[in-house]
Order: sequence, then C-alpha cells, then structure tokens
Amino acid sequence: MPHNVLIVDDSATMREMVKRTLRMAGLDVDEVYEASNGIEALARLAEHEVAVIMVDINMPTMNGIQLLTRMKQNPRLRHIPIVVASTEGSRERIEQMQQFGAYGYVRKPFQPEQLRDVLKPLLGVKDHAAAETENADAGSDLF
Amino acid sequence: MGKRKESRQPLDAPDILQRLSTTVAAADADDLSRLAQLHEWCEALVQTGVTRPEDVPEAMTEAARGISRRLEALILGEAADAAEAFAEIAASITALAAGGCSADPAGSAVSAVAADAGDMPAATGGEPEKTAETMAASEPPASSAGLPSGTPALSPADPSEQIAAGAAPSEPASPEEADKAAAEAVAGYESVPLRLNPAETDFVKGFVEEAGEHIESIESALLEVEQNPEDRAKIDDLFRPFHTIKGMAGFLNLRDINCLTHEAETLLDQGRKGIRPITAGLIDLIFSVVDILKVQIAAVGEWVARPHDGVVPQPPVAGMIIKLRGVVAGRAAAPPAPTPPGSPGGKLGENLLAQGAVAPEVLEVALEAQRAEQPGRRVGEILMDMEAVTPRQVAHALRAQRGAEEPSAAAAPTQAARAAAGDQSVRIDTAKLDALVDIVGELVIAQTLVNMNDTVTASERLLKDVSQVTKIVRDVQELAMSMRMLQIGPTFQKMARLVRDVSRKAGKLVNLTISGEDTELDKNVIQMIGDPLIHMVRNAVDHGIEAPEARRAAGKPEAGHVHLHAGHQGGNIVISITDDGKGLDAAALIRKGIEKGLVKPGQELSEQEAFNLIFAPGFSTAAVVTEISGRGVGMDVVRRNIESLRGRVDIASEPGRGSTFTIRLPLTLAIIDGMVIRLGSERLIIPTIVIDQSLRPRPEQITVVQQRGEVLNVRGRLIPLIQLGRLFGLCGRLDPCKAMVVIAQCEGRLVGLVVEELIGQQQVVIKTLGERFKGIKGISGAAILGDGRVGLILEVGGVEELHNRRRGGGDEGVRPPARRRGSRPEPALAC
Repeated sequence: MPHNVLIVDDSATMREMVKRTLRMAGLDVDEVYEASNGIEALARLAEHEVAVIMVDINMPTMNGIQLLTRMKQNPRLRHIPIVVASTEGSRERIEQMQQFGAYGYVRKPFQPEQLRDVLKPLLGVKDHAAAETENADAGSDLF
Repeated sequence: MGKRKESRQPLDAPDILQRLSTTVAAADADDLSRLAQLHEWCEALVQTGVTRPEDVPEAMTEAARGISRRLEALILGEAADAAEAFAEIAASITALAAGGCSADPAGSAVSAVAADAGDMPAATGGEPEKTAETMAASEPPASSAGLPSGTPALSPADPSEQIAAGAAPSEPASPEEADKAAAEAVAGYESVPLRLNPAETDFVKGFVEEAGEHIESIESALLEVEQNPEDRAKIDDLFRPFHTIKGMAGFLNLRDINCLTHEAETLLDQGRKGIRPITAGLIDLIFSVVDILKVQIAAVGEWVARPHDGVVPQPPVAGMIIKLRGVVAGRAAAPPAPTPPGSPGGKLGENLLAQGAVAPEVLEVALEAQRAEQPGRRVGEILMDMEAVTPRQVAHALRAQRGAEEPSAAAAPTQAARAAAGDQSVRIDTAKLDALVDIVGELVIAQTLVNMNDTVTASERLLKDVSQVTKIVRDVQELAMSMRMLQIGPTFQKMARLVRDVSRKAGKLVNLTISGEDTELDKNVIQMIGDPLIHMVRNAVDHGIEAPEARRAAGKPEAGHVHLHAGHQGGNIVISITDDGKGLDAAALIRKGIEKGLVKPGQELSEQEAFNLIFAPGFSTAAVVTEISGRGVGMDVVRRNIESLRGRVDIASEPGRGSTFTIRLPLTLAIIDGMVIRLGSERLIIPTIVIDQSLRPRPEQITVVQQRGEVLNVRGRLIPLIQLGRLFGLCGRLDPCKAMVVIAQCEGRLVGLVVEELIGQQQVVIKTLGERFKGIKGISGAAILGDGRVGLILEVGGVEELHNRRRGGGDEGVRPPARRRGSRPEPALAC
C-alpha cells in the first residue's frame, strides 16, 4: 500500500509547509495530495489511496470536525487515521478531537520532529539514519 | 487546485458534464468521496458558467449551483434521507448531462492549466488529478517556487541554514586553557578591560547567582578549615567551590575572576598536599580573596541588571593576584595573622564586642534571644542568623577564644554558617520517592474517574472546579516524576575511565567525547542502563576502533574517536555511541551467522538484519575473542536489558567509516507513549517505540507461506501476521485487508499485528498487573485511558512467542481451544 498523505488545509502556505515538513522529518512518504476543505478532501479520497490524512479544523464549506465526523460514520473511510493539525492546543480541544475520532493531534506551528513523532507509527521512517541526522540538526536549531 | 483559479481557465463544460455523468453512475449515497467529486465538478461548471457565459447556458449554471448545494448538504450529513436525496441528485445530474453534451469539446485547456505554476489559494472545481501529481512530484525546494513571490518562508528555515547554525557552536575556553594562560603570566598581572556580550546575559546571570552560593560555602568551609587545619576533607570542601567559580569564569571570559580563583586554588592545593601549612595568616589571605571576589561578582551583577556592550567596570585585582603568586612561589610568606583583640578564653560575644564587630545593643538582643528562646544555640550562631556579624568576624573572635573552649563547641557556629549558606537539597530514601510516584499515579487514575463521572460532566460549575483539580494533579504528577530524574553525566564520566583502560589494554589510541550529559533520565533507567552502556562502549573501543597502524593505513588519524551522546527525541531519551572505526561488515556477519547456525545458507538478509545478528545469543564478531570483550556477556544481554526497559537499540554502520549504536528509551518507566488500538470491545496499547508503521494491506500484499502462516509483503520484506484478537480470544479472525496491521519490532524482527481499528496515540501511566498476573505472556501492564477505560499494554516479544507456540501446537487456521500443556496452563486472557 502506498504511503500517501492527504493534507487538508485552506491555507496554501500551510499546506506547503506541512508538505516540506513531511520530507524533512525523514518519513516514508510517497505522494502528498492536497485539499483546501473537507469536500475537496473527500474528492481526493475518491481518486487516490491515502494512508494518513492531516486535517486543519477551521476551513470553509466543510470544516475539519465535519470531515472527521463524516469519515468516521462512513464504512469506506473510517479506517484511515486522521491527524488533526490546528493552532488550538488546549487539552479540551485535543480530547474533543479524540472523541470525534482523530488519531493524533499536532499543534501548529510544529517542528518536524513533532510531526514525525505522530506520523512515524503510521507511515514508518524511510531511512533511520537520515531521519536521525535531520532531526538532530533541526532540533539543535529549533529548540 | 489553485492553478485553476490562477489561470481562470476551467475545464470546458462538455468535459465537466462527461465527468459528472461517469462519476454519478459509479457513486451511491454513502460514497462520500464520489459525492465530493461530483460536488467539485458541479462547482467547476458553475465557475465556467460565470467566467464564460457564452459556453454555458444560464439555466445550466443555475441547475449546477442547485445540485452543488444539495450535494453539500448530503456530504455534510444534513439530508434527512440520504438515499432519497442521492437519487434526486443523480436524476438531476443525468438530466443536466443529457442536455449539454452537444457542445464542442476542447481539451487543450487541460495542458495549459497543468503547465501553469501559479499560487494555490482555495478553489473548487477543475482538474484535481493533474494538480495533485504535479505538486507531489515537485521536490521541496522546487515547490517553493510555487509560493507567491515575496511570501516569507513560514516553514522551518532552509535545512542547510539550520545545519550551518547547528554546527557552529561557540567554543568556550576550557578551564584548562585558562589555567595555562594564567600560568604563563608568571609575574605581573594586568587586567584587560572586560566586555560582556549582552546576548549571554542569561548565562552571566546564572553565574552571578551560583557564584554567590559558592562564596557562601567557601566562607563556611574556611571556618571549618581554620578549626581543623589537618582535615584534608575540609580543605577539599574549600577547594571545590573555588574550582567551580574558576571554571565558570573561564567559560564566560571573566578573566580577573578566573585568575584570582586560580591563584587561590593553587595556594589551597599546596595546603592540601601538605607543602604549605594552613596557618591563620593563610586563612586570612583567602578571606581577603573572597572579599575581592564578592566585589568583582557584584560588579558583574550590576552589568546583569543593565546589560550593555561597553566596558564593564571592574574593581582592581592585580595587587591581590601578584600577592598570591608571590606567596605561591614562596617569595613571600603568608602574612601573619593579626592578633585579634579580645582575650583568650573570653566569651565570644565579648570578643566580638572588643573587635568592634558588633554593637553592644545588638549583642544584648542576641544574648536575650539565647536565654529566652534558643538556649542550646551559640551566640555567634544567633548573631549570624541576625546578619549582625559576618562569618569572618566570628572566625576572628573564635580565634581569640581558642584554647579556652573545646574545639567541638567552636564548631557550632560553623554549622550555623553552613546552614546560613543554605543547604538546598534534601536526601530522601528512594523507596519513599517510588511510593510517592506510585500514589500520585493512583491519584491521577482516581482523578480521571471523577472527571468521567456523569454528575461532574452535567454541571458546568463542578466541571470547572474539577478541571482545576485535574490541572493541579497533573502538575503534582509531573513534579513527582521529575524528582526521580537524574542526569546521565556521572554515568558518562565512568565511561571516560573505561575507555582509557580498555584502549590501553588493547594498544589503541582513543579519544572519548561526550555531549548531552545534562540529559535527565529516570533513576531506575540510569541504574539499569549502566551495564549495557559499559558493554557497548567497550565493544566500540575493542571491536570498532582499529589499531593505530591499521588506521594510518586506512588514511585515518591514529587516534580513534568515540562519541557518547544523550538527548531527547520526542517522548524518548536517545543515547548513542558512535565510533569512527572499521564499521560492521554485513557479509562477514552473515558468514559468521551461517557458521553459528543462526542463518540458513541461502537465506536473504537485509543489511539491518545482518547487523542485528550481533545481538543474537552466542555471536561474537571479533575473529579472536579478546581478553576485553569476549567475556561471555554478549550483546544479546545488552539488548534484553534495553528491551526490559521498554527501549530498543538500532545500529547504523558503514564499512570503514564507523558505527553508531542508538539506544532509545522511554523518558521514565512510569509513562509510555502508546498507540491505542481496538479489538472487539477491548482497547490494547502498543508502545509506539516498537512500532515500525501501520497500514491497511492490499489483498496482493498477503500470501500464505508454508510453515509460516499469513505473511505480509511490505516493500519486499515478508512480515508474519499475528491475529492478535484471536490470540487473546477477543474476537475472531480479521481480514487484514479490511482491518489494520500494526508492524512492530521485536528483537530486530518485524511482526504484523492485525487489529480492528487504530484509536489514537496517547501517553499512558503504566500500572503493573500485580503478582497474580505477572506471568501473562504478551501483556506487560495496564493503563487507564483518556475515556476511563482500562487498556492492556502489549509486550510484542511475548505476543510473538505466544503466537509461535500456538502455531507450533496446531493448525493455524483453527483457534486452539484452551489448550493445557502439561502442568503449565496457558494464561487465558479473555476479558
């Protein structure tokens, strides 16, 4: 199964940033697809096989929570792990997203390492050694 | 997506209608993805109608808009009857498509859209496949061109910049270098104007605070030395704070303080070695040094209050440094102690009075206090508590008194001085600490249950109050955990000695470097990591680093390099041992593995699997077992120890370049990061540290292999699948292609655990299962989950063993009945 990731966020800049972060984190990622709201995300899912979805909460047309809810209700889509990425980081919010069926939660802005920690058990790491060095460098600079 | 909007050239209407009719044929009411696709085409049609009204009749645009709204409602789950709503939509779309297929198709727009690399704001409709492919194919640097120009890089900075920044740490002058510099300036001493870097204010502030504490301990130690000049241990106590101040001052380029402490230290060293008698004069001299130090530190303290990049005014030290050097060199004797006024045998208070150190009224108050409240305490002590006298004055008074009183009595004020210096740590029995952590763990669990209580969730007021308690409980937990944390530094220091010994014995030259020694680990982890670490460092020196001749021949520096590093990575502690030796030779390891019967001839092993052979019991890589490394304790024990700490060890190696052994450990033994999974109605927790990846396999990835059962092919690796639910009697066999497979690592092997659903990742507090359930294979503990349920924590090694044993016992296709073998019943885990 391909290690494809779908990024759902209404900000193109944010999508681009997540995309880059995915590469930097040394994760085993094949294709990265994008969508700017929940409905677009669902459309992408019809076209591509996706291993993990990263979802923003506040988006027009169909927001992250609506997307989560609909996906979890749907037998075809419920197995896909959803990682919520949002600027809101309160414990209540995280617990709420878990109740909606989110697999993981990353608070924006995040470091490559944080994203890696959440996605690694899902996607795996492409090259352990490379990921380590990437992280070591990023870590020393960012923390 | 955005490319569409940028270009303002959506697909042609006939094209869209074509897509609409094919998609609607394949869709049904609960196929959210296809519905979303339909929505996208409808939006695209509306867009086309708006931009090119000549191509799309207005009625069609309106119809598309209406369908789009209805689709939206259906997707959002707002339709009362989904099936009915879908049927209506499908009918509308079919009608729409039937009415509009006659227009002239023009496909050239597609390529024009794809070629355009504009920005990508939100948009609907268009040609998603092309877009996604184009964007996914572009590498990160290239895709940055797709950003609107002038957009500041919000993402973490360019990796190359980061590397450059990370690789250029300011190299502080070590204390040793400072020593040398001071020794070279034998005679005179000239203060260099001091400039401090405002960017380092925090460090300097820390220095000022810490130095203050050290000065206090110097003063109290001085008093003790004066009482017992023969006591080497006391001189050591005095020596240490001087040394620390010196080191810190050297680090911060505080040259005056560094030199002054250096000279004082040299003097004390002479005293310690017995070259120089500790006389009252010498003590006085040191007291004078302390006084000057205080002024110097105060000057730095003023700078800290108002940092600037000009010259920091410094009180003169040259006179004292030259004087000290004179004394050290023997050119000048330590000045004789002035005989303090006051009579021998007289009372301390009177002597202080005679010295003019204390006013009669103050003394009166102190004596009053002694009589009334603290009959056991000494006047000197009380006076120092009142900050009416300095330790130095007490020393003088005591000196006057000496001979008349017993030494033990005189020691009392020194204890007071130490107390005044502030003993800032308390020794606690570790058992108590463990009990505390345990009880706090219980508290957290009880708290979670209260949180989940319906009565609480029903009342907003109560919920708020309980949340406050929750927060405090979590703080307490964090604090309790932190109390068990120790720095790994001392453990690393032991390795320095080990490297020295082993390299001498092996006739090798090895430099050991250390980083991250201030990383904190759980006390128990530190205790248990010691032996594995010794073994691995010893291996690195003995097996990794080559003999000097061999290194020279390979074009490497004669002295090998071993680096120990500790640090945090996510929720884990990572300890790595890196050497620049000969590295591991995968082919040689495999040959050896075949020789030892660990590998079947012809068996294909990946490089990683070959490396992992060195962890197999009874495997030794050195051609000749040397005196140092080959002592029966193998790397298998190392790995077992690490895995018993819920950790793992990985190897990276390059022939001729060296190897890195990376140990990953949980932050504490009390909490783990876990992936919560569902099987039937049960929740199980798999420690994330052992998880390689998770996936839903495709049917073609699964094959049934003779003797091995179901295996999963993941990028060429064949991974045995374990039906976890059936193994534990939680549910029947699951079709992996309809469930999820979590691939976990265990002793270097991978196993695929078939689970029903991934619930999420969370940190859990581990509770042991207690004596009764201690022996259960495959389960290492339990935890209370966020929703108040209990989840069992999987131990993958045990699961694999259980799986293999069951398989060995019978046909894999049949769930073994509660089979009892001999006298050892299999622990049943139906819960």
